[in-house]
Amino acid sequence: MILYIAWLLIFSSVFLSIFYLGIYSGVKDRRSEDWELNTSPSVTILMPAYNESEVVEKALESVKNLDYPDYSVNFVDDGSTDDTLEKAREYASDKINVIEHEENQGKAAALNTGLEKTDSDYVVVQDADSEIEASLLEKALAKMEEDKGIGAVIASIMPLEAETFVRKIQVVEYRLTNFYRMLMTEMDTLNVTPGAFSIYRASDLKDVGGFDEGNITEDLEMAFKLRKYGRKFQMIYFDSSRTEFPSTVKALYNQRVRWARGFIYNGFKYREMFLNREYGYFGMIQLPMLVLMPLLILTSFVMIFTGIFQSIYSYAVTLSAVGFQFPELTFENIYLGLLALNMKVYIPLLLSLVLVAYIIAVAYRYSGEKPENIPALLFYFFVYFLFQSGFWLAAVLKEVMRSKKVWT
Amino acid sequence: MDIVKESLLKAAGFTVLMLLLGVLVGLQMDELRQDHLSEELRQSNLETETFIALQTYIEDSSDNYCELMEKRIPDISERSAEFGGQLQQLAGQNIGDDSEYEYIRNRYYNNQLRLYSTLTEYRDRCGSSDDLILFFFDSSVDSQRQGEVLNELVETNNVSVFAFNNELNEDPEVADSPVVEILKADYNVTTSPTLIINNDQRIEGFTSVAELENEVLE
Repeated sequence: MILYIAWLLIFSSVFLSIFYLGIYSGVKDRRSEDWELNTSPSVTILMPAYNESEVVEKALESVKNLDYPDYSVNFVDDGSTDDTLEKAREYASDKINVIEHEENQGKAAALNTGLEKTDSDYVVVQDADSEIEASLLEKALAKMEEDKGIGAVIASIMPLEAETFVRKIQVVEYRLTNFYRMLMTEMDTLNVTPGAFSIYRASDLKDVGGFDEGNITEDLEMAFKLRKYGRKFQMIYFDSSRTEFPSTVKALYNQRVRWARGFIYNGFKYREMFLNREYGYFGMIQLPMLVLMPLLILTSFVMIFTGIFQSIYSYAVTLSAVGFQFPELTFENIYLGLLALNMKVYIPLLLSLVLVAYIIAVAYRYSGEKPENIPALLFYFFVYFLFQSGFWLAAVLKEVMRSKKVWT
Repeated sequence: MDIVKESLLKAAGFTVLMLLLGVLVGLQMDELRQDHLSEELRQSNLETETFIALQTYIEDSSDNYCELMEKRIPDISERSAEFGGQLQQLAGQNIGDDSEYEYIRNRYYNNQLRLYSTLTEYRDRCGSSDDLILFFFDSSVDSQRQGEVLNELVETNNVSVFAFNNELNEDPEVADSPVVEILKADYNVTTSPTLIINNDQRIEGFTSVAELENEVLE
């Protein structure tokens, strides 16, 4: 039974890797892609903030430096208890409106407040801990204007700072995430509109009833809602929004468990889209894959820990029977050890690891960057999935136990 | 065909290829394991047969008999024990047909029984103090621990161990071994691990190296 589960895991991983490499083979290099914006639609940037005192000024500065002129900002302070509001007020102008929630109501409520107070054609969601590149808004608008079927445009996400090891690992992770999102754009299966930067048609957001207040991943929910509404999404890979990554394991845990719980909640909420031909590859491929991935990660986690436990157990049996003994490293013992290896698992496993390593290399090559930190890269490759499994496990347990959802 | 369908087909094809490659390599590894075990068994059988042939030839000369036996017993016992360990280690990794392993295992048990009978006779005739242990094991932790204890004992004492899988005739998926069946009935083995020491002493349950050395073996 365990052998069949191992095979299922490994072959699913091989299948997905080859599938994405197949998609990549058809991708055009968009580095020097031409774009042109002949219109000048109005844009409102919605910037919700809750206790973002340390980063809010940078976020507002980045908005001031945008190449595109016809924009305004609805900055919504969601009942911050630090001096976020005071700092934002220093930037208040005819372009930057500072709106205040007296009490904290949650990010979705803050976004809805900003949305209600705009009559612009387009709405950008930009978290107050994020900065966007000067040309990004204009390029995103060009895409939206070119194809009226596009409901949202997102950008690559990179860190504002990556001085801690936890952030360095996330840099590797986001190189891969951005690469996969670019591939999803090719397939028209993009399933997320991140808070770091997403541009929407204001009319769409109003038509679908705005952001779901009380939803801990309102960006994911909005993406699902717009997909259901019939919209497609695009990504601008070579421009990025820089955002603050969690700097400690605890902060990363809180963020990822929240995301995972959000996926479980919203996945269930929009379950009728799963394997539904009406939603094209998004329903038929992307959503099932999104369910398969955590299952794969969780099963790998259980199998690896079972394997480690069995090895420790077996060693403990020997230890309890005859005490500690040095293994004899003779040629025959090594040969026997190799013969005893479970090759039907190890060979496909090795192959799937090679494929994953190749995809990481391709992702870096496509980005035009070199790996920033080798230890972080190695940690990501060999160990990080155990953390991801832990996050998913915690999320599933919390959902089962119905513990309180918190936006952190 | 669009790129998604094309990629799905490519991925499915490649995955099936990988599956086939995995099975082929697995079967090749089975063959290597079986070859290794067959070769080891062949050597072990040859040694036992040589041993028994010589025993028959020199049966009349009591002095030569004991001398010959004394010289050859350690090697022959060690090889037999080693082979038992390897069989246990490698048979579990089998991917293909189990019949070859069952054949090897049954031949090994036949050889064990032959060797046990010969060594018992030697013990009686020559008054040897070498100990003979029949070890009936299953997949329990105590059996695993007992196996480790006996491995240790073989290396440090004049002991020959003959191991038999107690579960063999209870698993409908695995072919029965007549040797195990007869031995179990003869020694009334109902639990694992069970040790039969020098044909008369019986121990059920786990027994440590120290207990065996100090209290059981003389």
